[in-house]
Amino acid sequence: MTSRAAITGVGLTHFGELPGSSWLSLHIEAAQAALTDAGLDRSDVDGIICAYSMTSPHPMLASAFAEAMGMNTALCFAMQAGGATAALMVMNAARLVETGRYRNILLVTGDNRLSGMSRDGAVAGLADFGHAIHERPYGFSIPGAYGIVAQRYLHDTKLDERGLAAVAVSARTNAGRHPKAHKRDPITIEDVLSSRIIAAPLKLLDCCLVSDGAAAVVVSATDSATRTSHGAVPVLGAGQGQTHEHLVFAPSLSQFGCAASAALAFHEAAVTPADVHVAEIYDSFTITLLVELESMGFFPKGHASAAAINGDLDIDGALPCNTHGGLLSFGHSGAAGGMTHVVEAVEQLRGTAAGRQVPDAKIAFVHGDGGVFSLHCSLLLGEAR
Amino acid sequence: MIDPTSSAPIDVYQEAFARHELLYVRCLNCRVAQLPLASVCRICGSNDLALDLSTQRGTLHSFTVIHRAPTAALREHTPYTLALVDMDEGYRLMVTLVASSVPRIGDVVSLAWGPGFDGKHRPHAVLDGGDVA
Repeated sequence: MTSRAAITGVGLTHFGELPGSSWLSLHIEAAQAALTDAGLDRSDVDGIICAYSMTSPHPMLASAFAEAMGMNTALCFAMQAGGATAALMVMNAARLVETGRYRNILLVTGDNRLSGMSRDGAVAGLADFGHAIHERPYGFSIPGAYGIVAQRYLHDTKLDERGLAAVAVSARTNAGRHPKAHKRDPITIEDVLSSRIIAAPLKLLDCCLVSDGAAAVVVSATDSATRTSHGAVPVLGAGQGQTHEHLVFAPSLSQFGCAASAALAFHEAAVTPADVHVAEIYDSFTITLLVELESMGFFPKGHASAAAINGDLDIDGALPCNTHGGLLSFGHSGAAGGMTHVVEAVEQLRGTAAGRQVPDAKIAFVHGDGGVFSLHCSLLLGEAR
Repeated sequence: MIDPTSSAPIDVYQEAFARHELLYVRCLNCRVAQLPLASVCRICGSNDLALDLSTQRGTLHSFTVIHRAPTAALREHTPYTLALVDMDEGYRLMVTLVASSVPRIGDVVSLAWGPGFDGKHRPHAVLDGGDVA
């Protein structure tokens, strides 16, 4: 198909502990970087979409950001869909520019989740995702919910935890090649297996980080994408899917809305999982990546685990995944965590992922997951041109 | 049948809960048993839902042992086991699981009532033949 929407600029702050940062300072840093990257002035932007801050919740976050930037755009609103937010922002921005009504939409995500609310505060806040009557009173936690899915996965596949651990090792290796990543020291499978138990079978190194950081993206109408210096990355396809919000009401612990979201995106882009050169897939926990890869058709059930152990998900493997280190090692700061997957896919498709470039990457798959495998959004991005 | 104009479904659930009874709804159109109590079926959208009492027995669908509690109040209770139970009626429940041996997926469980983390009496899954420790 002929894409009418393209990503023309990306901006990324360092991820990690950034003392003195705020959601707003991080938003501004990433947004300005994305505009510079796109070769655009703020006056060229006619739409702003933001997400949310857990550290400083604001009922009109996009408006507060626009005020600080001195921007008055024809479109300005915030979206909230947990870990799927970033991919959904790209999908909706693409749909909006495809109408011809908007030319350049600035998407901004970021939070000072580590220095502003601490790891304990972030974990406590995330427990609010649980159902007030049927989950939270029983000690629900987000790692616990993913632990329940992981336990079922190991039972159904009769596998051990080494495949999970291999995902964490691969992510850390990749993060070691990215200068802005939160955690860059290499780890081994044994390190993961011997890290302390958080929610069995998940251990500390199976869990994503809590970071400060921000990421921004500019989505433009393809016919106005003329000033970007690195080429515009076309949005080839996008889709959304959901089966539940609360894990207790999920119809299955192995098939989720990612199957539908990915199918929609692949159909629109007219490509298949076998055509994907690089995949940037939500990895809030190691189990998240394995279950999603299998649910979306990249591997038969139980085979993603062996693929991780074999190195197939490494940069020189058959399906390079999370080449920046993902949420597990690049970092995670709310909606910005998912946006780092988008930014990395763009870098790969431009050929500018120095030190971690997948050779000849022409088709990238990006996926976000909000809640506990609850709400999904998949994107297919094409070669920069 | 739940009358959506009478007391809220959640109040109906909580009143029975206080008597250590567990209510669920079954859709009279598609026959799927489900929670939460609501005025619309999550599967088919029908408003024809019938209340029923659970036998409080089921099988273990999956579980996790939580060593790192999400809140300070829960920290003193770690490690605790959080479980999903497929109830015999066909709906799924999340509860804590109390077991002296390592549970296995597929184990038959029944619910026993005892103090929950908040002090309120709540159902806990126990392996068949077991009791709330």
